[in-house]
Amino acid sequence: MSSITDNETDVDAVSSGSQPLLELSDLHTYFRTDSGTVKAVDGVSLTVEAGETVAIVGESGSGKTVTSEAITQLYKSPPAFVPDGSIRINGKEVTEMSDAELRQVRGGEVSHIFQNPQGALNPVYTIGWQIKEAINLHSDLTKEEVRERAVKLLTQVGIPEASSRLDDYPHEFSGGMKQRVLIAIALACEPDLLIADEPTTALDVTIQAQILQLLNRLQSERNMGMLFITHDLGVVAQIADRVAVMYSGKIMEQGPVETIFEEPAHPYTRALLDCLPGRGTIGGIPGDLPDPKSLPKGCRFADRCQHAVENCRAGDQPPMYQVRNDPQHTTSCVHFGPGMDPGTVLDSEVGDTDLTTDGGADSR
Amino acid sequence: MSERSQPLLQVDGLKKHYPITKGLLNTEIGRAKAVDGISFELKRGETFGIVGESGCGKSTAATSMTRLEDPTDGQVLFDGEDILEYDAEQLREFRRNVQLIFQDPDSSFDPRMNIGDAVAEPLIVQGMTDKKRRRAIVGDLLERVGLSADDMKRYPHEFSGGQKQRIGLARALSVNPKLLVADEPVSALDVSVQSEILRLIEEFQKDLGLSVLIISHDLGVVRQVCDRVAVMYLGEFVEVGPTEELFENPKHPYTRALLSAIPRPDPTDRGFGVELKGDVPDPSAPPSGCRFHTRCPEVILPDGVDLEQDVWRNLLQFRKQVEAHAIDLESIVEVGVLESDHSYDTIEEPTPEDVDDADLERWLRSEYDLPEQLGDPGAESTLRKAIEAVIADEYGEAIELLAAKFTTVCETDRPELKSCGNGQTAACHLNDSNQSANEEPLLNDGQ
Repeated sequence: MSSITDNETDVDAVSSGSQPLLELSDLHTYFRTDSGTVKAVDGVSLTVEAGETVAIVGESGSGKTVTSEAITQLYKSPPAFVPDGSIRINGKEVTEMSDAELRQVRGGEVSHIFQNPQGALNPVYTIGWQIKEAINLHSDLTKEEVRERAVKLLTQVGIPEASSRLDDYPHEFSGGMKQRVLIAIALACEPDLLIADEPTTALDVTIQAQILQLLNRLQSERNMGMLFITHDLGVVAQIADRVAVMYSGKIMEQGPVETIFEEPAHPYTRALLDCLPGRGTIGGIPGDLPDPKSLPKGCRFADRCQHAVENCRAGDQPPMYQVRNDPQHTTSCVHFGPGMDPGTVLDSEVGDTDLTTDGGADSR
Repeated sequence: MSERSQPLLQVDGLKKHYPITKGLLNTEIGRAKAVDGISFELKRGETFGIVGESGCGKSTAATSMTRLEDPTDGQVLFDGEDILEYDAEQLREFRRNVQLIFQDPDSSFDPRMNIGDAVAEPLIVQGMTDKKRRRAIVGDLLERVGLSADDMKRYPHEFSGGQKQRIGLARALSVNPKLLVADEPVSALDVSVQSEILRLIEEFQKDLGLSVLIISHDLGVVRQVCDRVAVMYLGEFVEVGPTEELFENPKHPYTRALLSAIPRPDPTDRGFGVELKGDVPDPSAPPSGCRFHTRCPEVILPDGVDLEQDVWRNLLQFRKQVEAHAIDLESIVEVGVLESDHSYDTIEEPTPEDVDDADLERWLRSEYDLPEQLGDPGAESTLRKAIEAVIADEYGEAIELLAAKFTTVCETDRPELKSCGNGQTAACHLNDSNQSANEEPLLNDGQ
């Protein structure tokens, strides 16, 4: 096993490889319940390359967490099932894997960190025990090597005096420190892909900044792919390379982070950006997410959209159209379809606030 | 009499300490100083915000100034009356005048009580017996918060989080309070819903002339709705001022650090601002002097020492560890050997005695992010002697050496909240040198 710090991976060789690190195509994930089938994820296509951070943003209930859990099949099945679509990690199809194969993927090629660091550590075992457990599951090192590796990991995530802290219990760590420990556990087996589901939501802003900085550093050191789930557009702007905006189980808009913030093309993205304190001109987005058991026809955002026209409410969710012929930037909005005028959305005032002013400047 | 000119709420030197007890006799062995002497006033029709990290005491401040808990010390005047002297009847009146809304809208409703009854409950408690009038008030309130009067018959689970928070607001307003205390009113909600609720609070504040006290950890929220803001750290206010002034021109390093830690929604402007190292210290043993000095990125250098701020910061950290006798040489050796060039591979389990003192010193410096050589020769020689003393296990000597050379005003003197112009007050020694002539006690701020 190579040392953890080694940095020799050739960036170009990996990212220009024929297959992406993670490829979701037309992924559906439904849950069977007594009162009907909940369509949590309803056709999501997404790729993550090595060394890249892709953020999924959306409100609660948009299906972003289920998407991330589908990748390693973390949810209970049944009631969850995947009626359609594929998940490929390094070219291997996850939906066809046996339990044993899945165990290799979880914590091996793909690691997770979650929102609540309190709940993710076992209070009756020491931190050292929990890190070593993760290492042991995926490698056969000697006892001394495992310990060395645990110390190194803790040092890398910025925990001072790592070797003496190995014998401490979770309650002796603060929230931010626990999240660092969890990151160390997630990195124990050098994952290719790190899935971070709201990793900083439970933390204070000052600690959030520390953790984001740490994730940024670790990612570039290891050329790791990262799928970052969050509802906070501020965090997205700081950490993501590409963004996928999710709503009601579908991706509404996808593109490089600069483009999404400079020229948001989906009315939902524009409305979300508008909700940011100091940026908004309207008070929130009126209405609620549609019921995932009985989804409306046409575009799912139509009922809350100020640009909705008649054909927004017919047929299926519009396909992903390119914005200004940029293959990187796609949006699922009828106004970008053939024969329609994207200006209806792009030139609207909402979400048009100048990025350089950071407060108050009301354009109305 | 002077009802209009007098502030609605005056808080003076409010303290709330929780005893930490031990053993069968509950002997007090310490005190968690959750709120440790805060003073401010809330004018009529004003929105005042208290921001701070979790554990800074902001929620305790709210509960002790509304007499949900009795404060340890200090005075709270509501409408000119001391709330601590209220008898049962006056307290009931006070409870009507002050209403609270909380963070979690799910747990603030009885799941078996319909919304109409829930909103009407404060009216019943306050003695409104006319059922028809109650219904009319509830219906009107529900419509004002954007729901419909027909929703009265529905139960909490039928509403989303944002709707429940609206209902909470309707319930709080049902008895025509003078003061609304909102403790993290939107933290549990999605961004798209947050601004709706904040706008609603603002609307009511204007229409009804309410005074609002908002407690939040989210500076964005506070900026959107508050007229004035207090920044709280470890039970104390470190800065108080009008919102725009405070955000545009923060006078306290903690405020600056908090502001720069907010992720900016602008991908072209990355970098995470001033990084605050470490966590909030234990409130039962707050640091001496300025409570923020253990994390402050702008600690004042002692006379005759000339160092880069980040080196100085790390040096202070090292000194704290020495003072706590917490330099773990074994651990440093273990990490050092792991990262060294295999020169100690032959030794089974190296101990501090086995390694070269020069190596040990180097590893120790790298553990505390200190450079191999400090820029200031005087400081360097003190540090070197201190490290040698630590390695020789002579902690007493090391502590003395470091204290003699590296004691800063920030850890010896407690800064007072002082005016620094524009209605802002801040408690920081950095402002002393510039603004020392301008001393005003907090209660007169901005007047």
